[in-house]
Order: sequence, then structure tokens, then C-alpha cells
Amino acid sequence: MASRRLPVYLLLDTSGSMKGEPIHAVNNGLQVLLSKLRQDPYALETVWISLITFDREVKQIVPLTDLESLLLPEVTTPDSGPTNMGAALELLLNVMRREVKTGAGDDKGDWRPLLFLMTDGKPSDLALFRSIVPKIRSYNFAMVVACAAGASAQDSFLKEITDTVVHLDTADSNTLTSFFKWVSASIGTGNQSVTSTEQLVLPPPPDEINMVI
Amino acid sequence: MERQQRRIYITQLLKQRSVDITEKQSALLEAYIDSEEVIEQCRLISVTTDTLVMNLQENIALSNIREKLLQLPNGTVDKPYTQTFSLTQYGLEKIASFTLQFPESLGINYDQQTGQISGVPLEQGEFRVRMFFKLTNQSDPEKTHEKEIAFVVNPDPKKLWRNIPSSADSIYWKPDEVKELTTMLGHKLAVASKRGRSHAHEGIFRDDDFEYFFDEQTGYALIAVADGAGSAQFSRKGSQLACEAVVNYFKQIPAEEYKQLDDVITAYHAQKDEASKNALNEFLTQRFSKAPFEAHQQIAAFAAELAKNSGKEVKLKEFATTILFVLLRKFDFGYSVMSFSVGDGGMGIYRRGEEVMMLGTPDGGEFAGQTRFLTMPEIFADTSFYKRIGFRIVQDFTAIVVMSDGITDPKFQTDANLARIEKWDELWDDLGGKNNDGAVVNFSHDNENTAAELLAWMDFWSPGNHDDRTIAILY
Repeated sequence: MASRRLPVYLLLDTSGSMKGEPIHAVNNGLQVLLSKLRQDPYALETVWISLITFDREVKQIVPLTDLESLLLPEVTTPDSGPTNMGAALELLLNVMRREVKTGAGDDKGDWRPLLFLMTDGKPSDLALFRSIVPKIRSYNFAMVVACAAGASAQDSFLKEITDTVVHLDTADSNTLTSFFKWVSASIGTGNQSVTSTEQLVLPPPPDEINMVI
Repeated sequence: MERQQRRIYITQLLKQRSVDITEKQSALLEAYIDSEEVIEQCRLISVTTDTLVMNLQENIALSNIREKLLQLPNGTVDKPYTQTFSLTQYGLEKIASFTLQFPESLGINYDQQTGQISGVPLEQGEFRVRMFFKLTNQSDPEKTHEKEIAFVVNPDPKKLWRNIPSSADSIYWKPDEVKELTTMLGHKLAVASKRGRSHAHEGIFRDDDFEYFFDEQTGYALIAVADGAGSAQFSRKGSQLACEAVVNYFKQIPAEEYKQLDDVITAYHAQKDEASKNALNEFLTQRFSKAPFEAHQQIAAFAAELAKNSGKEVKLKEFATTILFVLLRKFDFGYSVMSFSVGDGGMGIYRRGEEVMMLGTPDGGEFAGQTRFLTMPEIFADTSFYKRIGFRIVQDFTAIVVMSDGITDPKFQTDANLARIEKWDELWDDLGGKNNDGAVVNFSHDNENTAAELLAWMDFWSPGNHDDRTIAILY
């Protein structure tokens, strides 16, 4: 018998500016995230992960997959190009329509999905972004966390998506690793909040992560 | 090199070096091409360029292989693992031969003959499998290259769960597990409530609760089960207050009124006439809306008191809890069962192999875990409020069961299943010993250990279902 799933969507900026150390740090961070989650029995039994990247193109590089069998591909970035965050959110809504199960009658619903979005810039496709944001806002996520990584990441756009915006001063390996560790702890809180209609309460972030109020 | 090739090669070489050849010199060149010396030199050039190109190709092939992220499908500790390993599946067609070497103590091996990777992983972790290989047509046939393949072995989630006792010094502490066995209505009531693994893992509290009473004088019995919301800070207290409030409410109803109710139910059963129907409705709409409202009010008052004493804001939703309860009475013609529910979990009157009567409909949402709570003021204003109240008369039953979603989620999976007799029969068989844990609950009336057995049974394993579990069974 399959257990209820906790869908976790990770949207990652892979635009040209992420090339070099930042994208390397993202790959390391994702490995750390998975390693941490694998040590959490609740996550191991319930968490399903999907990875969507956005640069000039938006791609779902990992369809929603259970943590136990998930194989992480290497996340790569083109040399340059725009940050199509709006298109990524649009793709997200489309894949969720297909992948996330809602309960009714004989169907067993998933837990409410979690969304983590990370960018080092701002949406290039602003018109599309603005048209999708209300749909993200009205979707019944248990939690949406947006992360602005590095000096040129702009918090204000992320604030449109969610009230929970964190800012990382740099997009280096240490900072991103601690961000992904915190993400794993946040997913773990699903643990305590199984019967909830409220937004999840996040664990206190480490020093490298600044909550944007 | 053949003569023609030599000729082309030397002509091109001369052109490349900008050496012009006249008509006259051309004959000289023709003779030169056939000289022993040139034949030998051309042979050497040919060998050298062949080697050069081959080495280059080899390096490109090697670097392509080295750049590849190779990962085996994940394994899990103690779970048999079998995979067929083929070069084409990883795009490694340039490899002529290879062997795989797994870490020695891992318990996994590669069989060269069959191409199968198999074994039972003994250890969890992120491992590197070493692949030793040779390329097709490699320059040095003796040379072996090496490449690492990532292999993740997941831990067994069962072994990761910790069991940290909750701190008895904490505010509103309650025991992590409770069991009780009592007699009522000529039946036995076994109740067990156990903290879920997800709470035990964090050392936090059991948020479920229950309460019951049986009054010999009036002949009425009440069983209440409540499930505090996992996300709410003081829900363990909320569920306790809810159960206590409901029990106290029905305890304080005067014996005289219960006596009148007896007459109403008896008349209703005999005649189903308008007068008795109205009187019955009167009781249900009055008492079964006031009792939960009273419970709501008491929790609100408790929260307000806490706010006053602590000087901090305390939200009512910090005490969020569901409540399910039944009021029971035995008559000559059978049993009257009145019920109320807000939230998830389930209640039913079960007759083995025959029928189940669901009491109330669980409040569910689009997603799992979404439900409604007694602490939400809006439920009392809702037009569908009276649907929460139920009334049944049954001749007899195998069991009357009240349970939290910690039981219904793993055992019934969907709300639709709660109405299916097959699912209830499965549950009853499961309780009777048809399970993988060897747990047996003996429901004979002279068994004094029924509640203890029920508590032990409640330790059943169900992946992803680790919420608090509470079940009350009248049998």
C-alpha cells in the first residue's frame, strides 16, 4: 500500500549568471539536501521531489519522483541568457495539474505541496510572471519559500510570489549548502503538521540566511 | 602507403611548403617517389599519423566517459537488489570490456557472466563503485582505465525512527500512551491511545485524547475521541479539554431529562410518529449542538485565561482539535446511538460480515490532512452543521468503534472505504491477528488484557502513517 505523498517542487535559476561557482554550489547543495532527507524517516517514506530549471528555456529535469529512487542529474547552465521565471512558474502549474493528486471518493489525496524557488536575479519575462503570480498565490501550497541568492537577486519580485522570502548575501558553496540544509529541515516540519490547514512553521534559519521582512 | 598515396602526399606537402615544381622537375619527383628511402619515410609518417589520430580519438572517448555522471538505481538496506548493467543504457558504447568493483563490505556484487548486479545491501550511504574498463581499439591493449559510478543505498526508514519520551515537566503534558478497559451497557469498552512515531521521533506530545462515562442510574454512556492538530502549539490540551467538556456536559443533564428521552426513543422506535420524531429532533438539535459549542467555549475561555496570565497573545487555533462522540443507551429492542463529529477520523456501528453504519462524515479537503476543527467558530454558523449530528437504532452489533485519523488513514485509506463492510471486516480480522506483527486482540469479555493488546496492536507499521493513534471499541 502506497503511503500519502508530500510533493516538493524545486525551481532553480540556471540563467547565464549562475555559471561557474554558483551552479557548482547548487549541485553540491542538492546533494546535501537529498543526503539529509534520506536520514529523515518521514521524508524517506513520503517525500516526492521534482526539479524545474529556468534560464532561456524552462525544463522539468526531474519529474515528481519518490526520494527513495530519485537520481539527481547534474544541473547545468548556458553561457548567458534571460531568466524566464514566469515561464517556470507556468510550467510548474502545468506539471502539478498532472502530478499532484487531490483526494475525493476513492482517491487518496497528497499532502499539500511545498515549493522552493531560488534565483540570483529577477524575472526577465515580467508580463508572464505577473500574470502567473496570482495563480501561485491562490494554489493551496503548504509552504512557498523564495530564495534570493547573491547581490543582484531582487527580493521585491519574490515578495510578490510569497511572504516567505530569504536572502543569501552570496551564492557560494557554504551559503548554498546551509540554505539547502535549512530546506531539508523545512520539509521535515511536514512531519509535525500533518493535520493542518495552516501554513507550515519554518525552522529558524541559520546565520547565512536572512529572512526578508 | 601505395605509390599513388605517396604521390598525393608528397605533392600536397610541397604545395603546403610553397615549393614550386617545374615540368622538368616533375619526372625527377616521379623517380624520387619510388626510392627506397621515400617508401620507408612515408611508412613511418603513416604509422605516426595513425597513432596520433588514434590517441586523440582515445582521449576524446575517455574524456566523454569521464564527464558522464553515472549512477546506479538506488538500493535500500536489507532489501534485495538486482539490476542488469549494460553499456548501452549509459551510452558507453566505446567501452570494449569492463568489470565493476563494489565496496567490499557492501554485500553487492557484479556477475561478469550474466551482467547482473545483485545482493542485499548491508550498509546505508553514498558509495562509489569502481568500473575498470578498456576501450575498443585502444593504443595500448594492456592499459586499464577507471571510472566511478555513484550508488546510493537508502537507510531502512523503520530503523531511523527514534522514540524520545516527551518531557513530563512540560506544560499540558500527558502520557505518551494510555489504555483503559471498562464495562458499560453490558459490554466492554477498550480504549487505547498512542503517540505517533512522527511525534515520538521529535520527543513531542500525543495530541490525541479520549474520555468516556457510563451512568448506571440513567443507563447512558458516552465515548469521545479528539485529535489535536499537529501544527497547533497546545492542541494536546485542546483535545483533552474537548473530551472533558463533552463528557461533563452530558453528565450534568438531569436524570429526569434522560428519562424523558428514554420514553421518546421508545415511542419513536415503536411508532415513528410525528410527536416522538419532533421530540427526538428537539433533544438532538439542542443537546448535540450545545455540547460541542460548550466545549468550544471552554477551550476559548482557557486560551483567554492563558493569554491573561502570560500577558501574551494566545490564539484559539493553538488549541485546534477535532471531536467525535457517541451517546449510547441500551433498550429492550436494541441500542440507541447518537453521534456528533467535527474533523477527520471515523465512527461506525459494525456488524461483522453484514453491515457497517457510518456515524458522521469525515471533514476532508482537496489534500490530505485538511480538515475542520471544533475550535473554528465558523462551523457553528455553517448551514450544514446539523449534518454533523446522527441518530441510529440498532438491534445489536459486533462493535461500536470511534477512532482518530491515525487509525483510519492507514486502515481505510480513503473516506469512501469507511463506508465499506469489506474494509471493516479486514480491520476486524487484522485486530484478530491477521497481520504481520503477530498482534492479536482478544475481544472475549473475560479477557482482562484487551486494552493492553489493543495498545500493542496499535504499533502496526504503515509507511508514511505515523500520526497519533486512538481507538475506542465497545464490544
